[in-house]
This record gives sequence, structure tokens and C-alpha cells, in this order.
Amino acid sequence: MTGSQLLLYGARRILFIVPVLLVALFLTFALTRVVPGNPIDRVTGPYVSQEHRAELKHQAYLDRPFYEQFAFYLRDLAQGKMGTSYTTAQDVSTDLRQRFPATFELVTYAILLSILIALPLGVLAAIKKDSWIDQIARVVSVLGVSMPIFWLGLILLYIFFYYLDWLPGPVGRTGSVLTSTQPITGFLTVDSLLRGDLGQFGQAWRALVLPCVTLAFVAMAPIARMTRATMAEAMQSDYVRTARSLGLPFRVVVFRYALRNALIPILTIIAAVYGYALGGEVLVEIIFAWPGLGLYSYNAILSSDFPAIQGFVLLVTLLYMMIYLLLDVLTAALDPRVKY
Amino acid sequence: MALLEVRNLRTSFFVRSGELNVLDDVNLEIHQGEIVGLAGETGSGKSVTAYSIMRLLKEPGRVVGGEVVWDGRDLLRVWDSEMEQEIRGKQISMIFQNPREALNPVISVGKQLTRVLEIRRRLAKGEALAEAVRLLRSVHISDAERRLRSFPHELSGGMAQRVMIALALSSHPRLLIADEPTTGLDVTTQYQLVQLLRELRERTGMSILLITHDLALVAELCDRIAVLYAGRIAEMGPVENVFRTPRHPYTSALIASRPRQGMTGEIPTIPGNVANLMNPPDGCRFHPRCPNVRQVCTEQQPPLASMEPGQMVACHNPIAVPIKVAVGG
Amino acid sequence: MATGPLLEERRLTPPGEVVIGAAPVAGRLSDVIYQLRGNPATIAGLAIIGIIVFAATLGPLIARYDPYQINLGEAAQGPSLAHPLGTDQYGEDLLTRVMVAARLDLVMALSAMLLSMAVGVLLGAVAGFFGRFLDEGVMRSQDVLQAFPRFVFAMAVAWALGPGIGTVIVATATINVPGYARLMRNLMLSVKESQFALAAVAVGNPRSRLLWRHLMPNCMTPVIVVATLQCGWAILEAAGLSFIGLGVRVPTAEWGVMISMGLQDFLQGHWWIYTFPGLAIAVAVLGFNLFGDGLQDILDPKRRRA
Repeated sequence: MTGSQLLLYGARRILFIVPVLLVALFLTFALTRVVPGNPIDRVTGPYVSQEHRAELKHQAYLDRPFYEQFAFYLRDLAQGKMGTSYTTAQDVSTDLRQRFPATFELVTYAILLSILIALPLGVLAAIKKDSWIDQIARVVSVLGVSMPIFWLGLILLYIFFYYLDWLPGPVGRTGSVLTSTQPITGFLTVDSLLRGDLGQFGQAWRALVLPCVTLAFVAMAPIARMTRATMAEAMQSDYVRTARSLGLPFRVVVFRYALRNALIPILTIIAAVYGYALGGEVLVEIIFAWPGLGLYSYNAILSSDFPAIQGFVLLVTLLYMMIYLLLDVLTAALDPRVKY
Repeated sequence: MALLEVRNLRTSFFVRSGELNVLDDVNLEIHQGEIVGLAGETGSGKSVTAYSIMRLLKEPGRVVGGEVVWDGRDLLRVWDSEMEQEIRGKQISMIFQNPREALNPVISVGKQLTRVLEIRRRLAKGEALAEAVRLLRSVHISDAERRLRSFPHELSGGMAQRVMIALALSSHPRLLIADEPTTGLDVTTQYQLVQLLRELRERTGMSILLITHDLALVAELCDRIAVLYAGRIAEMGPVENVFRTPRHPYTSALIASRPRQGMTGEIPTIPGNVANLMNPPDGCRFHPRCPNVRQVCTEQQPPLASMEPGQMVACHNPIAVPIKVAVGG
Repeated sequence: MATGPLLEERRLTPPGEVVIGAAPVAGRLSDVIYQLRGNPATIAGLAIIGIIVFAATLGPLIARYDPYQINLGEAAQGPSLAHPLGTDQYGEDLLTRVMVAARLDLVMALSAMLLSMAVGVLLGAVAGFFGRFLDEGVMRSQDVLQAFPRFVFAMAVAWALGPGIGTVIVATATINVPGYARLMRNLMLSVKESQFALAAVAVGNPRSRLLWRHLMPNCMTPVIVVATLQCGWAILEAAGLSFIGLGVRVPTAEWGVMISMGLQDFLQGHWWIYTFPGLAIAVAVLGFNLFGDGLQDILDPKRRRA
């Protein structure tokens, strides 16, 4: 597809997202109302008077019919307001904005790391079938999808923090010292460099290692597996046979013919892995006390913080949809057979 | 001196139940500027012969014996790298069945061509582009410049085959192996392709090894024909001779089994089944189905021997009296 | 998707009914055994599943301790002869709890898998078979379900339904439905146009019979493979939900719950409290993955041993 065609394709896909997003919104909203009882009763103790409770309910629109509540929610949403959190007393959107960078940094590095390892591993395993590297790839793949991510995190934490004391414990992004400097990009690893604070730079990295590796190991597995499978298939294909019959060097055959074709299904897997990572990182944040969206949602669940949970699900879903869209457009760019 | 000499080629596939001996003692000769047809039924080992020569055989197949002599060298014993850099694409090229699947689906035709030109003939970008256009024109693809931007899935079967031919010819090979190039194409396109191949031989003196099950194609295009049955050459010789006076009973039966205009009654078929390659018959592999069978056929493998009129036949009891067969029906 | 000879098996039919596309089953078993022999990983997977099921059924019956017996005197003891896997911070024997949890987790995973398979396969078959609006509607609804990141959605559903075994089953099943639906629909679309389907119609099979007796059985093979793998993932999801506190609650003997208990005690360094339940999960899921992969290798003609 040409560049302009791609843009149109992307625009069309974005348009498709809107109805899906609305339905998702509705679903999320409906889910919170499925819970028996109402938020006010669950959050307030027995010492709050009936009138006060009624007042709170009125403020939270809980005395209106369902569709009205939804309408109010949508209206607020359009203004960027997601309701007030019961625990932080801020608007949920503010909460989310504050917690987002931590999660984004963690997930981004984790996915990058997993691609960096899984892709070459898969390619090598496919080329040298049944060699030792193929065995390693297979073992890593099958282990990665079999292990509970929260268990892996705990094991790594135990080995590297408790036992060897090489890396910081589960105390968040900076290992020990809390900083309250204004973020620039939100990425501590980047901001500290920009500010010239090498001490914090090192600390940020050290704190990132374990949670990142945990997430990456699990993300690596399906990518390596898909890469190996599609590469192996590509290497058996007719067009690779043609390329070899023309005497093209092996390097070219592997990268320009096989990998180039195999990349397309691999991209789909990466999108799926990203979705998985968004879920898995909730568990990772809980274990490592990483102050991101995941930990936020966990605390929200524990304290029945309705607006917070709603906001979290919404944001994460939106992120996921955007990543999927991005990868869809990328696939269209790479595969000329995709019809606009 | 022959350009390519295949001697006693033996290839097997090692599968669960044992060794499938697909090629057993195949002998071929191709001279400069010749078009040789390798004909046989499906499963006779035609494509495997081509892959064995090019060393593109895939597991579980392996060449287990024989020689493939090209330019004084035995290709079966050279290094992989030499095969890749010197022989494939440069000296010997190949075109395949299903041309649309045989081209890289995600790269444009032009890019595929220019890449091969840049790598194998070390042309600069601009030169490669010009040469690509020239190549496409030489295989009679109209509107060549625009075609450069097409993708394989946008091409018709015939067009894709021409592109593949252009690719195969890009480094001016001396031998082109064409593996069932016309199968699946409509008759008109087949005809055009045949003309193209002939023209290429006229223009460049290139030799062609045409692998096919279509006898009409062989009759139309080839100078000589080699008939393959169950992994062995049954008969070999100039096309005119073999078609007019087939000496091997199998060849004769093949020719007779082709539907022709004005035929009435049943189409003659060859009785029995294709030889089981896991457990081939003793002696001549065709003997269970042969009308001329004699005792010696069940015991000894007949050697490929010269016979009137200028053919080589592997038969203990070849057809002595010439049978007149309508050629090109 | 594999639609080779293995799929066109003979189905038991009442006399007088014509089933198209039947092929003899004899020799199929030896075939399977041959494939298995070349695939030790698959056998290993099957063996692991066998061990886990065995431990789940028999273990709790022969266990020496009560999984909920609090015994603070023996709290947080490492592995020993008396307690081969150690005890948790309440003195409960871990080996017993791990085995009891095996039963619970397996039951939850199996139920979730069956539920999601039933719903998903039905949706997909109907969508693929009847096509047009039904197809569009079903597929769009699956799109919406798949718009959420899986685990997050499970979290939301589990939270809405409140803690409990049923919640875990429903939440886990919900996120797996779209996978089956899509798979079944695609299979149905391709098999609908196949030769034997047309032949079955030509012989006079009514549509409903066509769908149930002829088309669906031929689509089931890939579904079985996915279902096997699904069992493994369901265990992970169920454990994950319980770990967060959205599924089964403390002090139920469930692998995820046990790991969360281990997390609470983490800084004391009692690694065995969370290591062994996690190991159990990993091994169980590994078994299902190995076996499911092997099944796929066996059933897909392209990947078979020659």
C-alpha cells in the first residue's frame, strides 16, 4: 500500500474502534452495576447517618435510572473527568495520569527486551532445526507460557534480592529513595539522564531489572515460538526454493525472503503479547510494589473503589486497542496482499 | 562434449517405512544449445532429478550415488558455497510449477529482479533497474516499467511464469531446468511460453531441460527426449525417432494412451499400477505391466543400450518392428 | 487448518442414513502410536497430566494432615521428613495443601474450559454456518470481548461477580470464548464449501443434520487441540485471579492463594511457602502445553513424522 492509502486505512480502522470502544465503555459501566449493593454502602461505615448516605448517593447519581447514570458518565468522560476516587479523593483521570508512566516504562522495556531475545532465538532455531539452539528455544518457549508470572517474579526476587542482595527489593521504581521531581517524559530512566542525575539513573535501572525480566520472560515465549514456526514454514516455501535456485546468498534468503514473510504473523503475536503483558504486569506490579496502573487497580479492588476500577479498565483497554491498531497498520504496510 | 552429464544418479527418500528409492541409475546428457525433455508419469521422479542436479533436495530426500558432471566438475561433490555462488543462477537456473507461489509474495516484481541483478551481477541500482526492464521485455511482458511495481498475487499465471523466467535468465545461465512450467496454465498461454522458450534458445544458445508429463509439449519443443519410469531411464533419443518408432514398450504405451482426434472406443491404458518404490520389482521395473515381458526381465535389470534408429533403450525385449504412431495429435 | 484424512472418520450412523466422507479407522491407532514415539515431549506431557490427576484424586485421601489445620507451633518450617514441602506461616502442611489445591484448580480449569468451549463452539458454528447477519453480529460481539486485555477483563468480571469458585470459572471461561468462536467460525466457513458437504446436501440431508452430524465433527479436531492447551491457561488465570484476591479466598487450598500467602510472608525468607505451589502450577500447565503441542503435531498433516 502506498503511504496515503495507509493513512486512509489507519483512519478507517480508528473509525471502527469508536463503536467498539463505546460498547466496551458500556460493558465496563454495566459490570460495576452488576455488583450487588451500591458503592456508597460498601464504602461508608455503619456510623454514617442515613441522610448523609442518601446525600452521597444523590451526588453519585446512584438514585437515577441506569441509562441516566451512563449518560452522566459519558458526559463527564467527554470533559476528561472520570469520577472521584474513593481512596485518593482525586479525579480518577488524575490518578491514572500520575500512575501511567511507571507502567508504560515497565511494559515498554519488557516488550522490547522480549522481542530482542525472542526474534533472533526463533530465527536461529528455525534455520538450524533440531540443533542445541533449537532445543533451547523450545524449552524457553514452553516454560515461558507455563509459568505463572507472579511466581516467577517471587522466585527472582528471592534469589536476587533476598539471597544475593544484588538488586533492590520490592519498593518501587527507585529502589529506596523517593524522589518528587517533576517528570519530563515520565520514564525515570530517560528523565534522570536528561537531568544529569546519574545516581538516580543507576537506581532506576536497578529497580527495573527484576520486574522487567519477569515480564519479558513470559512475553518472550510466545514470540519465540511463533517466530520459529513461521520461519520454519517460510524456509520450506516455494519462494525460498526459487531464491536458493538463483544462488542468492543464504543471508539474503533468510532475511529478505523468509523473515520478511514470517514477520507478518509475528506482528500479530506481538500485539497479543502486548495485551497479555498489560494483564500480567498487574501481577508484576503487585509483587514489586511498582507504583503503576496495576498496583493502583489492585488497591482499588481491595477498597471497592468503583470509579477507579472503571477508569483503569477503560484506560488499559484503550491502550490495548491502540496498540492493536498500530500493529494492524504495520501489517498492512508490510503485506501488499492486504486489501484496503 | 556434453554440457551436463548425469551418470548413475541415485536418490532416495528415507521415510518411516524404510528407503524409498526414487531415482535408481539415471543417466542423462545435455549438449550445448539442446532442448532435452524428461518425460514420465507423476511420481516417476522427474522433479527429484532436477532437485538432485541442483542440490535443492529437501529432507528426507538425499542423493546417495552417481555423478553430475558439469564443466568437468562433479556437482555432487563440490562445496555448498561453490554450488550457491558459482552454479545456481549463474550456470544453471531453474523455473518451477505454480509460478505465483514461487515468487516472494511481499516484494514487488521489480525489486525481486533488481535485487538478484545487484547481488549476482553486481550492477549498480540504476543499471539494475534498466536491465530489469530489458529482461521483462525479453520475455515479452508488455508495459514492463509498470509491471515492475506489481506484486506476484496481482499477476496472471502466465505473467508470473514469465517473470520467473526473467529471474532465471538474469545471470545468463547456460542451462535452464524447467520443472513443469506449463502445468496449470491455459492452452494459449502454454503455447506462448513454448514459443518463448524456443526463442530464448535461438537467441542465446541456452540449453533447456524440460521436465513434464505432457508428451505434446515434448514433441513441440524438444530435440531429444528421455523417458523416465520408476526412477530409471527407459528410453532416450531424438524426439522424431522416439515418437515415430518407440522401442521401449512403456514409451509405446504412453504415446498410444494419448487421446487423439478421430479416436473411437476406449483410450488404451497401461494395465497395473506404478511400481512400488519401497519394494520395486526385481529386474526391469516395468516387467509386471509389460506386454513384451520375458523370463530374463524378471531377473535382470536391462542396461541402457544403443539401438536402431539412434536411440538408447533399457529393455530385454524392445519393440522390433517399427510401429507407425501419429505424432502431435 | 488440518482437514486431512484424519478428520473424515467414520461416524456411527443408523441404518439407511448416508454419511459422506467416511474412511476406515483401522490402522489409525498404530499411526498415532508411531507419531507419539517420535515425540517424547508429548508423552512427557501426558505423563505429567496423569501424575497431576492422580495426585489430585488420590492425594487428599491419603494425606496425613488436614489442609486447614492451623498449628502455630509448627509454623513456617522448611521441608523436612514430617513435612516434605514444609509448612506455611499458619503451620498448615504444604504437601497436603498442594494436593488438595490440585483438585480444586483442575476442577476449576476443566469447568472453565468446557464452559468456554461449549459456548464458543456453538457461537462460532452458528455464525459460520448461517452466515450473513448472524455471522456479523456474533463476530462483532467477539471483537468487543477481545478488545479488552484478557486478564484485565477477567479481573473486571471476577470483581463484578464477587469472590468464589463459580466466579473464577465464569471469568476464566468468558475470556476464552472468543478464541473458540473465531476458530469454529473459520473452520465452519471452509468446511461448508467442501466436497463432502455438498455431497451430503445432494443426498438430501436437512440443514440441521448437515450441521450437527457432518460438518461439526470435522471441525472438532483443531478445537480439541486448543481445548487441551486451554486447560493449562485456565489454571494460570484461575491462580492469578485468586492471587489477587478476586477468585477463591484465603485460606482455601488453591495454588494462587497459597502463593499470595507466601508473598505476605516474603521478607521472612520462607521461600517454600510460595515456591512449591508455583512449581505445581508450572508443572501442571507444562503438562497440558506439551501434550497439546504434541497433539497438534500429530494431527496436522504438515507436521507429522514422515
